[in-house]
Amino acid sequence: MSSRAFTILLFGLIAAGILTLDLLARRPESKLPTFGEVFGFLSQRRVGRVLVLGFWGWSGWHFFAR
Amino acid sequence: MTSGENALERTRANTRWAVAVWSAAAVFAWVAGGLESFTAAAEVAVLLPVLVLFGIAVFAPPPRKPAPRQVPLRGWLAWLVPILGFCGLEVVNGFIFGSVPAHPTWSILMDPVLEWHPARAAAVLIWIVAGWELVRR
Repeated sequence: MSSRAFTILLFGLIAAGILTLDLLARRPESKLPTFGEVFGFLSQRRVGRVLVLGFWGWSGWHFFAR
Repeated sequence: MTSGENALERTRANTRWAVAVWSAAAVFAWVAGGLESFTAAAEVAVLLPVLVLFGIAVFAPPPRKPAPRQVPLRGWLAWLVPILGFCGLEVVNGFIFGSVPAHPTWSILMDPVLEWHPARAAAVLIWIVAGWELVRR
């Protein structure tokens, strides 16, 4: 397997992991937070909110403007 | 008009407003998705939603979603696995290998996908929806 294919496989596994955790978190009485709740947790304090929104803005700049 | 009818009318007005705003966002995403990177137009197309959503967050914050549920620490820590995995892969491929085709970062992998106008427009719309969801968190 080439290193490129291996990298793509790893990204795929990470995406599958995120999807799986989020689905598990949506079961009744789950002990896991959803992906959205993770960002809600990070946004509880002002500094976290600024960092989360700043990262969102940067990601748009990175993917669509640069 | 009864209070029930008032509430129904408010719900309808809110729905009409939401449909209008998200339709406008979809049209904007389609136009922005047709712009090439490294152009002033593309920079404006990114800065516009950033300024609008930051403005809403600061000057007219919408009702925020309820605080996250109380879950055990290991519930939060479980999320560190994919998040740190992603960050680690980006750092290794970006900074150590220099993001060459054999060791691509996420953005290098996405470049060919985002060259297709409908995919790029969909990505812009998803990005705007994500920003709105973050403002409400």
